[in-house]
Amino acid sequence: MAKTAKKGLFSSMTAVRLLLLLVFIVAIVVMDAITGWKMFSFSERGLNNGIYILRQCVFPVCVAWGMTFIFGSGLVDLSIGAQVALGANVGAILAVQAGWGYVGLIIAPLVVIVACELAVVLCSEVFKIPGWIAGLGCGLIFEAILAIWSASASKSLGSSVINLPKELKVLGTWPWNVIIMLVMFVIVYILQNRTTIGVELKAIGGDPAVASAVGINRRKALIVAIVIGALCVAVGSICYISYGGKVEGSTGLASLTTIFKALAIVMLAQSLNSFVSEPVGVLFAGIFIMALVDFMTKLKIEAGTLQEVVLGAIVVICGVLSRIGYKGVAK
Amino acid sequence: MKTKKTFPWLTVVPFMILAAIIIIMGFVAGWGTMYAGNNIEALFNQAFNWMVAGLGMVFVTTIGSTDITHGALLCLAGGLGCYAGQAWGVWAMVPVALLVGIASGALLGILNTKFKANTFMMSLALMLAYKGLNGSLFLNKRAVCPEGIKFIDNVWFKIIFLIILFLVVLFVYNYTPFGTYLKGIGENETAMKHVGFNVSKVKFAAFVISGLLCALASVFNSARLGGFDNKAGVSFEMNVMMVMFIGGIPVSGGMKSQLYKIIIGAFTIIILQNGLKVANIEAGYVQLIMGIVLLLSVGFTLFLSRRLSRLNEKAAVNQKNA
Amino acid sequence: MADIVLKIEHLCKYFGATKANDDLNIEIPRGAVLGLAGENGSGKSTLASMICGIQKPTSGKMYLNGQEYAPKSPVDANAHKVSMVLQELGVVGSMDPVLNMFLGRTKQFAKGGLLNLNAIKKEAEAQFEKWNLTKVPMTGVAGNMSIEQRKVLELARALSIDPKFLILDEISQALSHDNRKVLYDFIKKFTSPENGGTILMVTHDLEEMVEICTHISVLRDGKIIDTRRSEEYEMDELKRLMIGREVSGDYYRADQEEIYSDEVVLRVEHLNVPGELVDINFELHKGEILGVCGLSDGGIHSVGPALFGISEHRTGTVEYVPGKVQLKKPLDMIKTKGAYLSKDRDKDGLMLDASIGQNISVPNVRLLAGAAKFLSPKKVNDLSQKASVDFEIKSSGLGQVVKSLSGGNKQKVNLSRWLVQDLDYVILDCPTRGVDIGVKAYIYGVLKKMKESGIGIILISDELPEAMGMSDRLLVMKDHEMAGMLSRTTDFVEEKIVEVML
Repeated sequence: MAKTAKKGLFSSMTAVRLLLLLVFIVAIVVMDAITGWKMFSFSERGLNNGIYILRQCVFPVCVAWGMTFIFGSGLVDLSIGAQVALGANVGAILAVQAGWGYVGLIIAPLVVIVACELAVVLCSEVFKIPGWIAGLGCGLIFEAILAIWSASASKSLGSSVINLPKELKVLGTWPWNVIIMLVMFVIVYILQNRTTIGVELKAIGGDPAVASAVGINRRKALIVAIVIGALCVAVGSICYISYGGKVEGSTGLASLTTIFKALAIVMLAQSLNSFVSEPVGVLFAGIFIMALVDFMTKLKIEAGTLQEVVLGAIVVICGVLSRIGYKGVAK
Repeated sequence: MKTKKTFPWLTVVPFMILAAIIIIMGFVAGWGTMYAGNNIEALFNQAFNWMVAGLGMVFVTTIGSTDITHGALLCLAGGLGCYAGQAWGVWAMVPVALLVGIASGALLGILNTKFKANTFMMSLALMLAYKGLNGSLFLNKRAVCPEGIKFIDNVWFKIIFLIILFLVVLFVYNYTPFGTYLKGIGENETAMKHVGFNVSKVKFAAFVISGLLCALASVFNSARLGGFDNKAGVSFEMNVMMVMFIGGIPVSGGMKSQLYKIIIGAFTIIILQNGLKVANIEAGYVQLIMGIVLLLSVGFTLFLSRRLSRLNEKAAVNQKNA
Repeated sequence: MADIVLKIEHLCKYFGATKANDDLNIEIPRGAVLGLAGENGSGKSTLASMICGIQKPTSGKMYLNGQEYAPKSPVDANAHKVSMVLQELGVVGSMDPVLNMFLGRTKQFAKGGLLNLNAIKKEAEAQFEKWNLTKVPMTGVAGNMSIEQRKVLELARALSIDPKFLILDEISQALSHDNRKVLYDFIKKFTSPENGGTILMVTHDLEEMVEICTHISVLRDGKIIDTRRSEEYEMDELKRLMIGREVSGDYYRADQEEIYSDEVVLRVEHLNVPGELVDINFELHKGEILGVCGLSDGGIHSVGPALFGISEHRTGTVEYVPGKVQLKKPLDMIKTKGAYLSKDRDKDGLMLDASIGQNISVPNVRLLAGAAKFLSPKKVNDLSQKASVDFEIKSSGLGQVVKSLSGGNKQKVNLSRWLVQDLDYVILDCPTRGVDIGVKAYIYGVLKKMKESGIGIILISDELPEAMGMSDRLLVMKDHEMAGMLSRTTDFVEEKIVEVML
């Protein structure tokens, strides 16, 4: 009886996954049609717009993977946006001002973002501040650090952020940044589904009391999860600055807008996580959402306006969908 | 047998911090500049908006949820109110603004009570969506505030209004069953479901009140600033949250939430912020200090209440053997 | 000289000034099934938690197989072949059962860092086979399994480390009758000479303890009062040792007659909740104690929520007869002077971090508010004070946080906040659960007084002696249906009730 049930489950799962894939493809085709087939057209320089969309995915998808690790450990940390700005700029400083080149550009964000994230964990673990407040408070602090530096840089350098020269922007070009994304995908997939740390994180996320009773060292696993997550975010921020050349700071937690797309991707992936494993879900959700953004831009719906409304609607709908059948208390 | 009363740290500390800030800022920014008449008026005007919005947001905090939409909502409600005032006459401004606030609160309320979604995420999404709306509605244009409403931007009017508002909210919060239910939901919502009243209705009302009072603050804000553009309301929600938590309201709400803490929190923050500004401290440093103060105050409030409950347990355990 | 597997010498555990365990000395022979008997707060759980490594003793020593034994954690205890199934559910709902079984020990299945998921599954199935345990689904998430299945899974997990000493803390509470039999068979097999295992059992069910355990230790106030072979105990003597005073026959009700008014206060017709209740019909009279009993998963705990109005897709009618009011939602019951207390007081009843006064006030503010909804704090305080005094709540004052109260006092707070009202009917689900014998007797006294004053009581209980002892009529449920309605005067013989239950 169990065997046939299992088989039935297996085939219905594959059926659902195929259906989702179909919906994914059809939606993109429909969007393309509405824009007059501009989404996959070739520009004058011979580059396909589809590649442009893929390149746009790299940053939010990497951040989204980072979020699945960080949020998955229970820490809803909104300071990620501020960390990206800070880390990327420190990388730029070391690369350009200190002359360290790629070494600086890569190592600095990795170190800075992991340090920032650990600082947030410190607040929430040691000072027992609820994760979301720790994230907000630290976000203000990280933004402030960059703002302070920017203000003094304005006076001495003339501009408030560092611009990367063309030679240092290779990682932001095609095909490198997409390759980075695909490599990250393989790493994240293996980590989440096929390693002990992945099992431990799922346990802690599911039921912390049980996890500690079976001897899972919550602190250790949490820190590992946070570090992995921070590294994902850091890789994303390296690609981000390599692509755009510079990253502006912000105040008043306006840095939340930087990670809004990643947030939408995570929510979409989470609402599908009973059918599709999270790393895979994030990748496809990422492509879908960036295609959607491109679609809207082609229709003259600019960023900073109704695009955010659409993204917000997606997050709200996914948030509602992921709670269907939820019997607990909603806060 | 009565155990000795422990010193009411949780109540006293916010006052002590306020006193300390007043004194420190006096030295840092200069007593004459800080506490001159016109600066006090400026302080009050800033704090006023926070207190009005805070008196609303506290309802959501009390039930254990978070409403982070206030900054963008302030802009949206105020801006739309201004538009309405220009288009249909000054009488339309307040109703339209309030309606926007109520609608936002209702939306959040439905998402929480009917769809059981996580309010924090939802209010975050709504905030970012409203920012988008603000961007498209007010981009490079400014919603100008109709002249007729500007009379409310008067210090005495505001003081009297605030007192009346505070008394009304205080009545609802502390002297009605509704208030008790709110706090109970913050303590243990499942237990409240077993008490018999309609928990969803109470929660819904809390969200609507939060949106409503934010809209009210936006009306006063418009009158003061003369209008809205899409940059208005930035970091407003962070300030209102700081007002609540620095004043000592528990992050998870519940029975220990008290309204006077909002007043204390508002004055603490405004004096701190304003003092730093008057002392010519750079904006970056000001935000750095605010972030640190937020973390410290939340951590400290939690530390105190945990220590208190541990002392309570010790006392009780001794009771058992008595 | 018997082969002693675990020796406990002058073991003490103090929590501040409280002596949870005070100078315990036991020698547990190999192959024994030792039951720990004692009221709540007597120290049973503390002792069990020290043996399995969750707590460290303040002083004293333990010897396992002659060697000094001081586990630093449950994992360390496992390394010494000591494992446990604890009272709180120990399964991660969002993960699949297979991973749950080997949670924390997946490294042994890892090759080069990657887990061999198939090998884990095979090993899991092998464990169930070895001990002949009722199989549970291996796919999907553990959260979709019933509480019983999850307990069996935990047992399998505890067994998968091949333990020689097993601690079972209140395990049978979660199991249905069939599964209890599987458990008892397992216990026999585990402690047989071929296997050589030893079991320490903590259970509130005294009858079960006498039947299954080879030895029983009675704990009271942190000390071991007596340890004997279980055949040497008489039930009354056991109870007496546990509470240190006479438990007379008047513990429940002295009379054997069903007595109640003819007036019907609640009429339930065709009450149906998909998956939980099938066509329930009965009438509750004024002054009647209507017991509801049955096997744990037979639906008895669904009756309360259904009547209260918080079950999903409920059909049928519940009518408050004196006012001819149909009860559809919780507010209806409250407004017709009824009350419902759920089985789980910590989750569904009390605000643990709030004070006694605040807890008592919540269900009463509706009644205390005057015109224009004004609620006078003085009136609220006076009521809380009255309730606290009337129900003899032992505390340091109304401001004391409920979390720090004993189980018995917590239940008094839980009950008093409703019973202080002028009620016509009450529905109580396991009101004496997790409560020591002293408070139990007190609660029975309260119920008797309520009956005399004409209040209709529905007493849902999973303790058959309690249901038999207190009820006028007994509604027996089986497989979510009514199996019988028995009368105190004629039918209350344990065998007959059990027969109807099965």
